[in-house]
Amino acid sequence: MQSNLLLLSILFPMVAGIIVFFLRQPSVRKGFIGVSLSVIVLLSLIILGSLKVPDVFNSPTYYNGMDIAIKIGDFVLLLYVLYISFKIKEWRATFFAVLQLVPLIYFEFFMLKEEEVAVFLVDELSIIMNLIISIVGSLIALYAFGYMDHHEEEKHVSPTRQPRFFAIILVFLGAMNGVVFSNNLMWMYFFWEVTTLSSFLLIGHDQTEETIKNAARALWINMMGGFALLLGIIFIYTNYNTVSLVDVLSIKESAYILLPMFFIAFAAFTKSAQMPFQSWLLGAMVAPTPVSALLHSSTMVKAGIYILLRFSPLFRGTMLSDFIAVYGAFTFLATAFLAISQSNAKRILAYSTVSNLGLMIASIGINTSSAIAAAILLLIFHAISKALLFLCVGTIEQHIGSRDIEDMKGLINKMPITAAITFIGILTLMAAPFGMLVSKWLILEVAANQIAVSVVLAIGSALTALYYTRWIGNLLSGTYFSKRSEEHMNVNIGISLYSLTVLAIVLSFMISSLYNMLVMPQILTMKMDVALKAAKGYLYTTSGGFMIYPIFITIGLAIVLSLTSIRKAAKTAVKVSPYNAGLNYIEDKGFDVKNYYLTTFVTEETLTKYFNYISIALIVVILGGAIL
Amino acid sequence: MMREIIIFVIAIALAPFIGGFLNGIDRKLTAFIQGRYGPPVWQPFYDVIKLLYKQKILVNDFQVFSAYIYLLTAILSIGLFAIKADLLMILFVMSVGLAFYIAGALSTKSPYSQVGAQRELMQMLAYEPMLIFFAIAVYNVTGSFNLGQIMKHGRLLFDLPLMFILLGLVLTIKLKKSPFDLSTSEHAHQELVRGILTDYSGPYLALIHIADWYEMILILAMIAILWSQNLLIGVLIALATFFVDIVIDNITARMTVKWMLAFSWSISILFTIINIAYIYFRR
Amino acid sequence: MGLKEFIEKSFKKSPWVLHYNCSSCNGCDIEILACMTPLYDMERFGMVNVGNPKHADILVVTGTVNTKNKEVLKNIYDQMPDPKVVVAVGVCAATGGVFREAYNVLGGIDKVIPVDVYVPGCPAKPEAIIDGLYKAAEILKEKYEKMGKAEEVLK
Ligand code: SF4
Repeated sequence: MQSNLLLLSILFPMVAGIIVFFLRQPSVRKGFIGVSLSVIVLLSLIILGSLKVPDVFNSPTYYNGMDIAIKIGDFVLLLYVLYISFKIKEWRATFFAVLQLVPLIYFEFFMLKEEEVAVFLVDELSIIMNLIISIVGSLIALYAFGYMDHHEEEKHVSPTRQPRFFAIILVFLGAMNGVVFSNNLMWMYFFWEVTTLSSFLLIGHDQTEETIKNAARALWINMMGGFALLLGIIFIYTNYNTVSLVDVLSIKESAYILLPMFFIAFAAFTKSAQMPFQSWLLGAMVAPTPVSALLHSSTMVKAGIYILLRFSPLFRGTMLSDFIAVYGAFTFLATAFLAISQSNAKRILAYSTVSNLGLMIASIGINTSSAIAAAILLLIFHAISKALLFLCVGTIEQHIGSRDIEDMKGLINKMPITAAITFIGILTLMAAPFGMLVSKWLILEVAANQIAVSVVLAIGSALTALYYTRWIGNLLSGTYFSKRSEEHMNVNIGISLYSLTVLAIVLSFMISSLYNMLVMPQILTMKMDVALKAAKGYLYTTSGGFMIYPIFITIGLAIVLSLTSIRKAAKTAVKVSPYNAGLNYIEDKGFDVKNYYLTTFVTEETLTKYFNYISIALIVVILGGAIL
Repeated sequence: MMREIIIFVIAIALAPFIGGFLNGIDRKLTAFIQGRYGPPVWQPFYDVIKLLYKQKILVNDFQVFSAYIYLLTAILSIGLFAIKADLLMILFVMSVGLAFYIAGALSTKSPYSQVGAQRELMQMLAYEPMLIFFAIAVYNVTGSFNLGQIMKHGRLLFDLPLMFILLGLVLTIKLKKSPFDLSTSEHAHQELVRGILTDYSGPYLALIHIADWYEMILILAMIAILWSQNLLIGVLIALATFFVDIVIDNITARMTVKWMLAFSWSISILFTIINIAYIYFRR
Repeated sequence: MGLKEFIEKSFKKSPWVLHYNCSSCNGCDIEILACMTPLYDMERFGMVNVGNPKHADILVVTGTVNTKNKEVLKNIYDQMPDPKVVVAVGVCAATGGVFREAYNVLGGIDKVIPVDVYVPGCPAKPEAIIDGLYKAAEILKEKYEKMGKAEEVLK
């Protein structure tokens, strides 16, 4: 019964996606998608409520059928990638597709002995991922209703390509569930490749030259990652004779495990767009915004983090782990650096996504129980806040026709609701006491005796604060004399933005129960001592503690005080224009003060070049750590 | 619990008086160095009280909120320091207020306050990592971020001589003294008018002044715990640092943003690494 | 000393000065700057030269008002929060002085904004300026007292 539930959470979105593809009537299609999304959310909640985890789930009835279907699927998928790569003349993708095909054929037909393994492995981590995928994913898809209509109108797309769009989104949701639930590594590999393909198809959705170019880049880099993953699996199989995740995780004798771990980590790096591979994620920003929100910030790139977290017990305490920590920290710093030279909001978000993923990888590399907890917390909060911000930027872009933060000056007067939500979204990313910052605090505490990592993290945090603060400043700028206009928000967009905002704030507020309910059991599942305790908004370890309620109270107090102050001032205060050396300040005329982008310090191209070299060197070092 | 609440309240009640008084001494001393007579030591209190009772003039509503949250987080961080909470958490709390303070200045459309705010951002970029470095170095000596446990370690100064210098540097940047008086142009320089403070006025300016006193006390307190064996000596060390900062303020000229960033980053990374190496060497 | 008296005293002890050069010949300006030098040191009375009307209590104007800069003068005056005092330094600011008959000159600054203290001289001496500022500080205190009463009446 329970394994059927899990299977349903994978197959239902996929089947629904295929049906959507053939629904041409807009209202029918929207209704159908809406129903499917609510089913997906419901399924995830039922899974959360009814499953006793951690556990493995067997189901002999359909195992063989599924296994064969997936094997066929593997080849179909790779051949399709080959076909695409010929069509768009992206030979690197061809190269990696062939590179995967050859070992795959060899592995499937000559090495792999047919034996039945458990179908699903579910623990709290899978549940957390599943919740993120289902709830955040559904909210983003809901947002896409409003967004895509506007998008197609703007780009004069006719006939509508929305069936394709939503079909891929739904299939993608199913595939993500597949990645996080599968116990058979070959199944995981298949779903992993499906997400790569959906990413490619969605980036290229607009079918312009630029989108296809960027989609091709995403394809070949991720195919490279897929190749690494396959190699990792094959290495594991040759040494340990198993493709079952549970068995792999219970391996005691770890002499041969590090090399496959390196390949899996490499796959994770490509999927999570870590430093030399970040270019695909930046290129992916040409996709419609819901895609950036769904695939490229909250779910798909988290697959890399997921898989690294999943295997982290296997390389705990090794040199490989330490090097991964340094590498992640470096990516965190380097991309934060690159982000400060950007004024394009989506690029800022993309860089900061890579940066935060780097932070997660760093803390997985530190690999103590608190560090793992920090990584999981970060994963949750980042998914919500970043999705929210992407959606906000999408809304803003459709209204003002620009995604430049300089053009967002005075947005609070033009689009009060969206600007306010964006403001809150940024706060949840950069300011204590919200979840992101609590996790960051935790990482800094656990990283403190690894000097290289902690120094890098300290600088990176300051840079992060820099680029978000000035964005807030731009959003909220305005005077009493600015022209105000009301904002009319599409219902779907509104629902999705509001729910994500509420989710981000409420989850931060309940961080201690969240930790106790989902994160701590996961730590226990991974057989570690729990160092971090949480109670009533107070998270503490032996070396320190973080109280969130005092800060919430302070912010609340500030709101109350300032509101009373403004109310009182309404009678007596004078509303003046900003100081402009005695001249009259005329809005939108004359001068404009731009933010400092430190372009004398950081230019994107040169820095990217050097950072890429360094990061490649670091990867080589990680490889060294794996071999030695 | 009760005891902690009392300490919390006493600390946040006392800090502004000490801060204002130190500020008065600062002005008197500066005047002395410049060969002037200078204002009375109570001058900062006159200034702040006067500002509090001036008419409110506003550019937008957000700056009101910014001023309040800057003050309240500064108060909270002092209170947390007094009840010996987590050092890193205190730094995080402090940076929340700072972010709002800057965003509030950015949000008024005056070019002066915007340029000031940008420079303040750069200053933040210069000293925020240093403070975290300090916390990390302290952790490497004491094995804890908890102030209660940190203060059991009597004479941290011997372990962290370079971090002490860094804290002095942070104090200079934080107080916006020369050569880092970039964001507000202190003293009689007015090319930026009052930089980041330009559009904060009347009572809200007063709030920010009070918050600045709190933050000054916070940094001084961090210096003081380097000699927690006898806090009186710690306080004297902190005051000496403060005095040196005033002297530096008067004998140096302002530098550029770029220089500040390069200087503070290279110094802080270098000092941190050397100091932590030194800790392990001492063991 | 009660709080009320302390507040009133604060207004007297902490007058922040904004200096606006309203097309003066710079003679008076130099004398105002001289007030800040160690020799005269106006900071001993708590007077600080702030460059910003929004922080200032006393507006010190030198030079004549002409058709071009009267707007700016008015703007700066409007941007100062109450209570505020205006000091006209030099005969130009008081009456227009030798430029009174010029085609573009309106006359003294009291043509545009209300002036509380006139400091005569061409240029005015620093001692006189400080004396004027000190008087202005007293007026500031009185104005604050009146403002409080006005607010009570409003309530
Ligand atoms: S009063 Fe005399 S010194 Fe002053 S501005 Fe007029 S002409 Fe110049």
